[in-house]
Amino acid sequence: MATRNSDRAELDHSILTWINETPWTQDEERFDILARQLFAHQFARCAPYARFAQGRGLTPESIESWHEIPAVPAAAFKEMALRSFPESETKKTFRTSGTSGQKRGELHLDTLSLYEASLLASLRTLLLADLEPRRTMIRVLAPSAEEAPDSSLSHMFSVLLKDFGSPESGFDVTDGTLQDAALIERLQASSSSNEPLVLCGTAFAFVHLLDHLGERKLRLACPPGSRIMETGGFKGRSREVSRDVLHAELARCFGIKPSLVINQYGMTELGSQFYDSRLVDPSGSNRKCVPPWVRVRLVDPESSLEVEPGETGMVTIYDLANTGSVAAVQTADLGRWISGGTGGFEVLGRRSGEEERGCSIAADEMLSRDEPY
Amino acid sequence: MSNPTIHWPDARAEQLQAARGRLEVAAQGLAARHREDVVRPLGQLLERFRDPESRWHQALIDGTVEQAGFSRETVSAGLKLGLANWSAEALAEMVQREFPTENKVGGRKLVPFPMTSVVLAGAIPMPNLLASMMPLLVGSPALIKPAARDALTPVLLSHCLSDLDAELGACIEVTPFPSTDTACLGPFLSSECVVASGSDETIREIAHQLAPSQRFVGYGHKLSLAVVNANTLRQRNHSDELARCLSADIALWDQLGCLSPACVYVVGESATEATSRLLESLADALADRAQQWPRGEVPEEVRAAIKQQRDEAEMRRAGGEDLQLLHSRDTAWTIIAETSGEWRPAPLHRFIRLHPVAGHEALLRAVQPMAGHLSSVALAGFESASPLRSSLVNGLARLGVCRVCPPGLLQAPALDWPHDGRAVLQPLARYLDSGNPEHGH
Repeated sequence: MATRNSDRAELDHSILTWINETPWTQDEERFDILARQLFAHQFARCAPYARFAQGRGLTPESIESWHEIPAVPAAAFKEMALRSFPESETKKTFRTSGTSGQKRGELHLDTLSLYEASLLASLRTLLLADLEPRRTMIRVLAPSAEEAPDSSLSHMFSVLLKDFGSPESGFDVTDGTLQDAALIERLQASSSSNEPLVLCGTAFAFVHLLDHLGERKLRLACPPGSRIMETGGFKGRSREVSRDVLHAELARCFGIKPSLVINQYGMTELGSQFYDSRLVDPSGSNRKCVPPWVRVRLVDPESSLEVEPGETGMVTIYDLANTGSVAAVQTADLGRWISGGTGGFEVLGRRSGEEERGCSIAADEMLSRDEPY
Repeated sequence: MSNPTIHWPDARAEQLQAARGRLEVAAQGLAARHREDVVRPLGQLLERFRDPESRWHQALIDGTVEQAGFSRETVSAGLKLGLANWSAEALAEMVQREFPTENKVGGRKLVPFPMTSVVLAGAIPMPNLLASMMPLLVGSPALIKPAARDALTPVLLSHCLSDLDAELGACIEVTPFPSTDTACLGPFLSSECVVASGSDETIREIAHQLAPSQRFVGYGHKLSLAVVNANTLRQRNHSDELARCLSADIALWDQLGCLSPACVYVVGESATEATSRLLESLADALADRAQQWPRGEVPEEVRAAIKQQRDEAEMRRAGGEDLQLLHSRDTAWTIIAETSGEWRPAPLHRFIRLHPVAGHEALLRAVQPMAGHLSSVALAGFESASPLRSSLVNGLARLGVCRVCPPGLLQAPALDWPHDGRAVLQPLARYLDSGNPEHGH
């Protein structure tokens, strides 16, 4: 087995230590030091990233804080391999969803240790804290990692089941099809139990399940303390539903408290995820919680500067768990702080703007619609 | 005590039914009119809207600026160019060409639909102006659902026409309502003829709600292009002049119309070098246009998409691609000189890619994915009547292009341009072959 660079090993160890610490403690100085060390490491080992940074006049020596670390656009992961390690040491590659013929973003990993530690720490703290130490029935409305080996979401769910799931846990999408009848039967059988269960999956899978329940005029009564975690969007899949409407329907149709319907914001290009704060702070404003090893900036697309509190900006993420790739990623999503700094943010929905353009359309939308689901 | 469910009458639905009732009455008067008594007032109406000094033209500018968010300068320039040839004379000629004999075509009698419902879309006044008038020109009163960002054009048209000819003005009713209002949508779509513009999804949804017996004329997703002969760009002054013209096509209506170029193809063996020259010239030209015709309101998510695309281009260059990127300090304009014909996302709002391709076969291959969604092409540097131009135009036509024009005139189609490859009025017409020699040849 190749020995990873010792600097990298030390960096991974420092970050992993922080990820595994409980309770979560924000530490600005610690983050700044690690982020700048990671930038220096990635600058030295990922040539396109170094050229990108240099093109902006930025080097590890020139920056004075993590805020200045240049963020690559998420779309860049479709254009080139953003690795900070030799290609021969690739252990796993996750790919964004898309049909064949479409370019897909890729996250290359030479180790899964930080990736899995980060996802488990967030799940434990923000979704499952009150359920531990017992194992819980977890049903997943997504394919397993065996069926979708390049899906980061499926991998996440597989790790979740391995570490937290009871023997009754499993995946309810097989061969690309949601096994809704079998799942509903299982949930109906569990309704008389006092043991809470966890349902998690993609938003569009939940919409399909809700439609199925609606057609059969069924409502379920999940045991007290049960919760739902949904993630992802709807583009090109099922009908679009606003998040608020989806959550209200999920709470109603599954007999789950609204504060226990949680959204996860994440993406293939990142090693960490963001969860709604409802479970850990039911009385506060709902916001996406930022783990201590991650920072978020909201950036004005006109000036590239950080926006003022209350204003909208592009969600730009600095994720220390992304040691093997590029830690600083700029998304095309818009967000707003709920309570400034590391307090939490909300991700804003997008207007389609189609009818405003009459019969014209941004060609990329047109081309993506012409492709099969 | 139980809470009774109260079903309030839907005021909008009642107003729509009342509008339908008024049009049914107006239809009788319309049917009795000679064609000239429809064409003349509508021609006068066009002249009023064309005249920059008229209050109607000014009201159209004011309303478009307020509702659509374009800058006043852009709207003024866009209307001046777009309405330049939409004269009373052009209108009369169009009607004469499509219907050489009043109420007859080829011996068959024109039988107007009792009512035509028109769904408008977009934010640009000219197409909405024409679409609102079209039913009257074939003898059918028009029930109009205005576009969300251009609620004013059909209202202004109705008022202007009533001012010119009250009885004819009564043949237009404008009924705004949200598309989700099913109490209104059903009655609105019950007309014998329905004309709709909008996204492909909208057109599909409307078609799905209609009976097979109803006439449906749908205008869905379209985009336009510019195609430039690389040889034309050998000299800087040629490049500058071409860029000036292209910048008008791009900047007007902030690149949001179906006639706005989504990208530019530079065709020829020296296409890569020519693209670089065009990049520099177009950057200067778009910077000038940003001063002359400032860009209007832009949604936050579009600004974010523009920044993403710019950063992605920067990253691709860092990854070794030989592309070039020029842009304003803010997001006002962006040009990316690509290295191939491969299609890439286009946020619009004055964001344009230049694609070099080796020849016209390569161009047609690059454009093939858009077949069926193409509208107009601005063609530059190809000698008229040359075999090359002819071959290129024929190839584009097979992919659905229905209009070719010089650069700078994409936003100035003739009144009778074949929108989606169709005649303007014929799709709304209905004929009777009565077998009566009086109505025959």
